[in-house]
Amino acid sequence: MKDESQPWPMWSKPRPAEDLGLTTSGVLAMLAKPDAEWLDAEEQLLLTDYASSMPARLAAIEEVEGVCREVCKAVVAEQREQYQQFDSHHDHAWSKAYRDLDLMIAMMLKSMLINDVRYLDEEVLYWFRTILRSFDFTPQFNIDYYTRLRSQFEQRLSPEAFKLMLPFLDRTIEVMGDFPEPATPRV
Amino acid sequence: MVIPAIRTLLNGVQNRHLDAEEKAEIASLAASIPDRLATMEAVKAIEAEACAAACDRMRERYPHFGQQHELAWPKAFRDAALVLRINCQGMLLGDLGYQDRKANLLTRDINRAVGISPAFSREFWSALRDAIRERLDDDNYHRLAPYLEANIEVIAGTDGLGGTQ
Repeated sequence: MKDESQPWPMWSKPRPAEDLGLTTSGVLAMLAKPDAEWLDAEEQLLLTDYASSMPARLAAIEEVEGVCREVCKAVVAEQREQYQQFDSHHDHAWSKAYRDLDLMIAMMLKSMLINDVRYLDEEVLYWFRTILRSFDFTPQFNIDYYTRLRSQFEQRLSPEAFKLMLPFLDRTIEVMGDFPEPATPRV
Repeated sequence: MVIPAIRTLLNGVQNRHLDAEEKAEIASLAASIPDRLATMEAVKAIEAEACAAACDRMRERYPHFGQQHELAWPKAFRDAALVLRINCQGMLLGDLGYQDRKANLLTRDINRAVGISPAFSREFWSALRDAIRERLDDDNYHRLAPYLEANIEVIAGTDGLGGTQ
């Protein structure tokens, strides 16, 4: 039955970030207890675990940044091969695609650093998806684009670095490909 | 786990990758967490003793205080412990403003409202600082010291009305 409260098709809600096990409310929530109770052993362990993961996260950032340019070029080249009419629909289409991909990677790295997929959602994915939708991008175009990104990273990163990046790459594919088909696709 | 100082730093990085200095700062913040937790544990171990020592010292200096306020010394002990815990939280976060928001300003205003003078407050929070210094090793004390000093400066701030005692 049609939901009368929704006169236009809504895109589905992506899985809550909390369900992915990739976000925590952070140390501030941990400290917000009655009478400012001391952190217990489990809470301290969470904090030290995260702190001790930081060198690996920073190393992954270095690795990603080392291959970022090549990866972006390869992704854009592959996408260009598949979507040959794309630049006839948008000004500076591929240079903007390259620029946006680089910025998206920078945001993924920040989210990976704090291990919080919600940060990625809120800081970039939701609003960027809306913009691309307004330009009549198709969900499949985005899915192809970011799936290529994941694949490029898989080929070029160490397994350790890729493992840290993977949840954020997957989340990007999930959210960026989650909107209704445009009436007049321009890809 | 989101450490607010790291999140704040990231929020300042717009439309670009982190630079080397920012990465070093993040690494340093994360690396300091075990030491900060160790300090927190050290303070926890001496919390009751240090708060009691501060209250004892003040009780000698202000023998009539207990008659002027209901449950004066138990409440003083409780407040010292609460502020001390919040000091430790601020130290863990590396955020001096945290204790102002959570404790110092509130305590200062309540103390004023019940007629506690800035001089009394200054002595009380100084007594707590001294009691902590006597019981912690140097590394732990120095990590916490800025927060103890801020208690004195803010709670005993003299920028408003003074109390009677």
